[in-house]
Amino acid sequence: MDPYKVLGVSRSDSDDDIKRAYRNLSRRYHPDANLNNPNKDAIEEKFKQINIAYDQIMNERKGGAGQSAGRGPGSSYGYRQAGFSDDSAFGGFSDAFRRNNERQQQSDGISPEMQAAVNYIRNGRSSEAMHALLEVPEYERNGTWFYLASVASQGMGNMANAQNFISRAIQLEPNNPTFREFSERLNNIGAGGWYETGRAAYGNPYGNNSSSSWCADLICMNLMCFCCRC
Amino acid sequence: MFGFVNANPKSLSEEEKAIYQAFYCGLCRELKKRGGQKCEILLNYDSVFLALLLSGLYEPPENSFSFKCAVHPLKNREAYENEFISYAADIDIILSYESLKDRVHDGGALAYKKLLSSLEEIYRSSAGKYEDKAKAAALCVKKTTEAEEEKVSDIDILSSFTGEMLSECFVRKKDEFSEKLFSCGFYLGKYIYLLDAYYDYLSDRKKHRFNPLHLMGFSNMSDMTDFTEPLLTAYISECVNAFEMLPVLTYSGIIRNILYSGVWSRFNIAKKRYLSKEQKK
Repeated sequence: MDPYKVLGVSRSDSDDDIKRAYRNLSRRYHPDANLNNPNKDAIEEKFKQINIAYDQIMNERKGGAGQSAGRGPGSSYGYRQAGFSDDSAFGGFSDAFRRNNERQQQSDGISPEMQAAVNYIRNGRSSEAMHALLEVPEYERNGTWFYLASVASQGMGNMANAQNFISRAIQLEPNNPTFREFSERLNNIGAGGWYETGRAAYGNPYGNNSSSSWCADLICMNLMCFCCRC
Repeated sequence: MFGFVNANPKSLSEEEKAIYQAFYCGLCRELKKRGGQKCEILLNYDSVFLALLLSGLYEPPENSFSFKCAVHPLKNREAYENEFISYAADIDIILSYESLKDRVHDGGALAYKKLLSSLEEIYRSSAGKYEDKAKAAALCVKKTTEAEEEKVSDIDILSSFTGEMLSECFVRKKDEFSEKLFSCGFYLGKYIYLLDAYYDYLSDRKKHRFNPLHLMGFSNMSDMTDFTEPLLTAYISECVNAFEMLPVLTYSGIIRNILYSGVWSRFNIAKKRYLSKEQKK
């Protein structure tokens, strides 16, 4: 089903338009607002569809802006967010991996642990992927291993490790385009990417004036009271 | 909490400034309700951010009223009141209590000890309302302390404890927004942990306190900054990613101001200080 139709918006609408349409619909179809409605089940189904459509659109748009969709590690909340398994959100992890995989098989094959890691990553289960990878003995860790470790680390929110692993992967296989692509994506998230543009647009504050303007007197006064009392 | 998550008033409109101020004063009044003047001292920007984010997302019924503030007796002040400002006040108390306890544990000043014992009862009341959040906060301090004692230098691991605590606090109730709020809080927590380490780099060294950045063997401050800044950017941009997935329209301008700009103000102060010191050498 076309997610834009579900929300009644068009592809040219802004993110805020999408958010507004979603809010209106989700308010109308929210299960809490329809407790006594005779069509409760149908309405709940509609509510689910609205949420799926909204996530799909927002993920698609994020993908376009070159942003990643980190799943948020260890989350115990059942709501599924697009992660690495979702090709559109991640800009084609599986695709990139397949290319890489073909190359790998020509040379030295891929261990079952690494295959398991790939499957975990596809399903957005980064920490399980990392566990599987750590089963591979150190002398068998090749470029692909470091690449997968980088992807899994990024999924867990471990950005420093992700950076280290991908550098090592590139060191081992300097000409591998998949590794380079991922490294660029990592760096796009970080320095030089869309976030930096936003940061520049909002201005770079030097806290002297900003951190004291809201209620400096109050803080000073309280500190004084606090010190006197003790 | 640390108060790192503030706004940059320079790029806020007059209207946005007034709203921010009303949230600030609203939170201050909620704290005062819970424990009088000694609670006001706990007021910090991180909790104002939490109140803004949740109010923007859930758009609860909001009361606005003007009052005479003891600190500014001459003019009337405007304050907001809603269930999320009240929630943020309880979270503020829980997190402040834990961080104060940690400081006392580390051999902090007698003044801290006294403040801590005077907060005991107020803490119990807030923690009773939100047991999961209180547990998460205690667990974060415990895990961080243990890791520091073992001299763990992996910043991803160390920062994830603060991340886990904040993600728990960002999820007020389980619903269709939980996972996104969780993610938003997680990365903001990681950002805060790393910024705290950066900000205290020199003072921690002086006082022989643990700081993960000390373990990385940087030869000068600009190398240290070159390592920290991209990593901070990586954490905060994941936080923004999660925020942008949420259908927040109200207060979104102020929230973006904080996430893109305000969060850097303390970083910029420290960076300037570190780099100019180095140049003098």
